[in-house]
Amino acid sequence: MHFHLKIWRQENSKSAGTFRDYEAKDIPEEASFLEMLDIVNEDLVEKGEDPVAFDHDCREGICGMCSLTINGIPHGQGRGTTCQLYMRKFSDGETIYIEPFRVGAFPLVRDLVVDRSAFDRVMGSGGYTGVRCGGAQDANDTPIAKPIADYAMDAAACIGCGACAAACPNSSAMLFVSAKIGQLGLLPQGEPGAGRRVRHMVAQMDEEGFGNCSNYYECEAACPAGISVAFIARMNRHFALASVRNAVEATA
Amino acid sequence: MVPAMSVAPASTGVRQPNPLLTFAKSSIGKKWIVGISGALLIIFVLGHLAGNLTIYIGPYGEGINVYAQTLHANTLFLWGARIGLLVVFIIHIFTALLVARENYQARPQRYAVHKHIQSSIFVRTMVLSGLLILCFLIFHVLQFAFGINGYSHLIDAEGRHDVAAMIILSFHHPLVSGFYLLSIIILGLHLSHGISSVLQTFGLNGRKTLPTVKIAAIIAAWVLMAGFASIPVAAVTGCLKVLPSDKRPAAAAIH
Repeated sequence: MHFHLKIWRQENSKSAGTFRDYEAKDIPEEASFLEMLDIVNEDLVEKGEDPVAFDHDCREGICGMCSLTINGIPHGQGRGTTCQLYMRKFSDGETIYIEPFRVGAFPLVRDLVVDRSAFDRVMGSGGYTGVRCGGAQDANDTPIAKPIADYAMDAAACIGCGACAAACPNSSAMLFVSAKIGQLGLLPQGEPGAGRRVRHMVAQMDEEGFGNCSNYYECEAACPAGISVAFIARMNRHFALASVRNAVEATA
Repeated sequence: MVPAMSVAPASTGVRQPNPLLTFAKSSIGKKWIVGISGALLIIFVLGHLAGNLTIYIGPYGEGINVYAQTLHANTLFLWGARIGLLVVFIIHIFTALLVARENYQARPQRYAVHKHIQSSIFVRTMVLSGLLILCFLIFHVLQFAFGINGYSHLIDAEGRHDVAAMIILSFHHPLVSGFYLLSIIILGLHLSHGISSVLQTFGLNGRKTLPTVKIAAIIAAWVLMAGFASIPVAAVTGCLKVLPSDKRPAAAAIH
């Protein structure tokens, strides 16, 4: 297969970036999008040019490291991460725009690589969970109802890739933050400090400069893990309740 | 990508800011402010519609004349409601614009190519539709509340201010009824997203209710709008009749 690529090239966060044209020739249709970029890069290295920088790690769709906005959609058309996107999904001779995730809170590092450590700081602001260290406790010591366990697991499916913020017209990270708050707060181990956690994580999310949620639900549509925006509703509710409780406790 | 939970932030001993202020300034707090004010405005729209529909009572829309007279008799309630409404409007618009600005700033470098996967154009233009509704409201208040319409001097058979005639005759102008219908459509689009957004913001939404809430909100918005739109349509088509001048007290015939 053959593709015309328009790839965003930018030396670093300070320099100005621009689209550059590249030709991807003789790409097998079973190649993943990242493998296609590998082939293009090999070609560039052979010509003595700078290869295109892009993020990737497990290439199995579970680590959340790959990013890329492909033809205006984070991780490209269809559900799943960029590494799970195959070239057979594109038509031969197609022009493909490849941009980095454009989110103010994700500063650009180089070309298509952005720094998503804002998410790590949001996680860090959540503080401890009440998980016991030391010897493993008995499996059924803490009973958890099946629907709750399933629901928490659905939230925990989030791989923290940042596609939600990249797809959101407001660059809002609320799907990510709400998934993490849901994952931790739904289980009994995360129950202690759940109120403090939601307040701190939302405060850190704001601090990082992510936008607000306007209920467009673009995040849900772009999420490779299929996280539901119902978690955002849950976060809205819990954040308000925790704030009121905190206000009452502050006066006491 | 995301590490396990790390160290909790140590308490600093610095005096904490007012928790309610912290809430109001936070992203979700602002959502709540827009949501609560929006919900109050939806309640107003419901009340306003119920009032408007009294025009269908009586052969010449006397129902709305009685309604208007009762409303104006309760000065305290009327002005309380007007001032309250104005405050709610200002809070709703100001907070929404503040949020819109923050949202714009959250993406300093725009996408060259950006596809919207599932949100419709109407959902993404809430600020625009809101501001258009504001323009309409200014016109609407001047026209009917301040009575700048050329028909506000009419008196009905019982000597009441003939609100029905004022409305019906105003709507006989195609520009007035056309502008009104267009504004109602824009309000319908705004509320189609607004009603479900309020529920989402208040956290009254779950995975199972999400699709139902979305559709129910759209239906509710358009049922409301149909109620509003029915009046100019009924006026133009002649279903709503104006009290003939010979039935009016002598001094107040239609000029």
